[in-house]
Amino acid sequence: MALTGVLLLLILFMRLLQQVKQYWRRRVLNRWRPQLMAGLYEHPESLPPLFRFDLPDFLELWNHLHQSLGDEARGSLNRIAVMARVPAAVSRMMRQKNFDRRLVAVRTAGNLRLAATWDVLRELLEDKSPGLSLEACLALVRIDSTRAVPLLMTHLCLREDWPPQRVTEMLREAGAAQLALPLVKVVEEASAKNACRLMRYLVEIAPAEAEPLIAGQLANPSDDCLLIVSLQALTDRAELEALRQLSQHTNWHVRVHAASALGRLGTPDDAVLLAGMLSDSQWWVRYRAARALSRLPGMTTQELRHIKDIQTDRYARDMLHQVMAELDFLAGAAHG
Amino acid sequence: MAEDILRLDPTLGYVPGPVPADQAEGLSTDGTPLLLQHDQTFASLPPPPPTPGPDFDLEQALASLHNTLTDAVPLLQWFLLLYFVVFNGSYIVFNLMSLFSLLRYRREQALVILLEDEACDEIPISLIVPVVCSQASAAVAAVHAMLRLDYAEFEIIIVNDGSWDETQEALMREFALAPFPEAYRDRLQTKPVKSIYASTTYPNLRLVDKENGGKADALNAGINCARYPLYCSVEVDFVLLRDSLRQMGQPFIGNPATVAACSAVRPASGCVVKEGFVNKVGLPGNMLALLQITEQLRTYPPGLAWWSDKNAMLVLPGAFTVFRKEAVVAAGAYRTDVEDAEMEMVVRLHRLLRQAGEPYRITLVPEPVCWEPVPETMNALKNQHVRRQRSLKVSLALNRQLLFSRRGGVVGGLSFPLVLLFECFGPLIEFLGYVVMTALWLSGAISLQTFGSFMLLAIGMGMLLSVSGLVREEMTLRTYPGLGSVLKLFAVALLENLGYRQLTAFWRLLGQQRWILRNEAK
Repeated sequence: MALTGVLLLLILFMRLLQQVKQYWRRRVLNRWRPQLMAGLYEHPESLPPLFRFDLPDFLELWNHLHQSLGDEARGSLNRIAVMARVPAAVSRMMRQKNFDRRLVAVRTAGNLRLAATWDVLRELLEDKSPGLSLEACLALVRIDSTRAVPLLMTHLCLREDWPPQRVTEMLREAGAAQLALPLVKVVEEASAKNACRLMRYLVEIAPAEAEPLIAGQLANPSDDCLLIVSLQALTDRAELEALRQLSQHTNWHVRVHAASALGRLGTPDDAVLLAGMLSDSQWWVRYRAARALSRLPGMTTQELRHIKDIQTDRYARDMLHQVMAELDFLAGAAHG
Repeated sequence: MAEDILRLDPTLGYVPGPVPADQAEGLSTDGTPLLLQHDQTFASLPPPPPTPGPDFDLEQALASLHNTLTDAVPLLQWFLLLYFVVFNGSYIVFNLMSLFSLLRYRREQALVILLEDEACDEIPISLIVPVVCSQASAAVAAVHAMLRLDYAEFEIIIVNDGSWDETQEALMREFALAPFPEAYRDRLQTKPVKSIYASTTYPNLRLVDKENGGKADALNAGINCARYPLYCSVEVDFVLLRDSLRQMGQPFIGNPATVAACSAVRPASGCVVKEGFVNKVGLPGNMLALLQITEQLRTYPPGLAWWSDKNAMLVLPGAFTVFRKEAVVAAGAYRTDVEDAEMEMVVRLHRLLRQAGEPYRITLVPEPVCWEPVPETMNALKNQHVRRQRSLKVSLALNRQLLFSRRGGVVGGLSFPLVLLFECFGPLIEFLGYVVMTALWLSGAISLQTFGSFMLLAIGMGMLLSVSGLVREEMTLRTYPGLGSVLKLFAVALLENLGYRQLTAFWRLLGQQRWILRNEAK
């Protein structure tokens, strides 16, 4: 009973704490938002003192503005931060135990490009939390992208827990020009398991540099996953012959992507090959082959109907019938 | 009693008949003690014939039972006390452990969701919506809301499970559904599919018209039609959030080995629903609905976040679950003889993937992403508890090979036995505990003090468990805003241990009994 009472007190305390935090946050925002906005247009000679308790809320506001404004405004924000002695405070906060404080400090260090925090950020790169580790990597990239590339490549291989969309964003920020070649090297040297994931990053940020690797995979496939990524990214018609060969691959996932790629890059001559794929044992291969047929250059509804009529396989005919109906429905929805 | 004892005559041997009262007590007629064993005449007699069995003596039997019970009472007391302490105590510990898992999850999730506008990595999801009779207006409203979900790519497959009223016509009219020549894949066996329709206005909406076969059969037909790698079953009375699919799809992006992501369905009563989505979360006015909220905080998620961390989350009754389609097809589709077929599927996936030694993950999405109306009458509530308990038993019984299996890992070695002990046999022991202790006290076998101590411990720990669930909710999700809501929940958390919890234990016991009866009938 006493413990239950203690828990009630805990709940009340947490609610109270939350309200105090909200009040404090509103107070900090009301105080600093006008100062920061004014600082974007004029150089303030002095600023109100930034108290220790105000720092996390202030930094959140500062980071929010930093990420949503342009380069010129960022310069003004950085000036204000230096005047408010943020760099020294950030260095201290990065060594604290509180996760949220460390995180906001890391983000601020990156936005401020604080070279003095490089070593601490390198340590944080190894943190167990994928979020904090990725944020530290992003800060390093912002501080000195050239120096950060080797670290980034190493951790790109090691950290499978980094969320892919955030990694892609970071790689774009680091710049394709300086990342492309190291990334190609990393993909070439990576294990089959990692290569597939890294290849996706490569085709996302530097598709031109990925082309030789894609061609190599189509000619001499080393791994089905890598081959599938290559097929998804394939844009070079010079690889058509290799692509046609893959329509007979033993792995049906590869055949599905080969059919899709043929729909994107194929010529009218590929109609026969795709019509053959309509009788594949896998539903998805038949479906993608039918869609690819409908996308071939010069393909008309009459031609599709003719291909359907000459099919002896019921599954092939049904699939083509479905895809033709889908196209009709799509056209109807587009006009309706 | 003395009349029934055989009379012994030293000269004539055994004389059947009543014994004089004085001799029956071991005395001769003159009052001297009878020394039968030392009597030479007696020693020379032939062995006695077998004695006829005495007639049943109720008083003696009761006395003997009383003696046995008196001996067993301390043991029973200790067993029940220990069970209540271990049961409630372990749930409180799991609550604490899951608190840390939840805090860590929320911290990381906040960082992942930062770039939510970038939908390039979202895995397409098929929403399977089984509909039956009398659901016309609810189904139309639900599908309208689903079409506005905030997700990059999804399709809606309505499965008309043999409804014969205006439900299908209403859907066809509202969404301009027309016959569609789908190359139907019958990978999973279902009742015959009559026809398939597609919407001419919404390219991502289809309707499968099939013969009635129950929810599981409808889901199997929906899976046959699903085009996307992930799918979920959505009831027409579910209320989702705009970003529900995004939250449910996140674990599949983060870990490609994820085969299922489950989220507890929250009670929708009291929430403000606008255009099919939860606009504001609130508490219901109905006491039964309120009790169900605290019951859910106490029972369903305790430790689930921790179990999920260990990839050992076994059961979450009535959950909103997103599955990886190929994993389910490989597992052999839903069983049509199980009421909560999705719960059974989760247990089956654990069993099969553990046996195969394949890397996999079944994870919990702690955020409330789905809401549904809860029973607000005693009868409906009773039926729900009975149904859920039966489903739990069936799910565990069908996958009993997982229990202590060589490759079972944490699921087979810890999670399964604990669920079996606390969730399956729990209601029986809990209910018997209250009944037996009350009976012992009424019969005078235990003192009022002992009985009071037991009740205080059982109810007190129950209250502690209920409140600890509330604290966990407060520290992590904070679903119900406002201090008033929290205080109300606190009061209900205390109240639910004074009758409601015992009643639900009894209902769950009924569910268990019906499962046994059904098995025997089979």
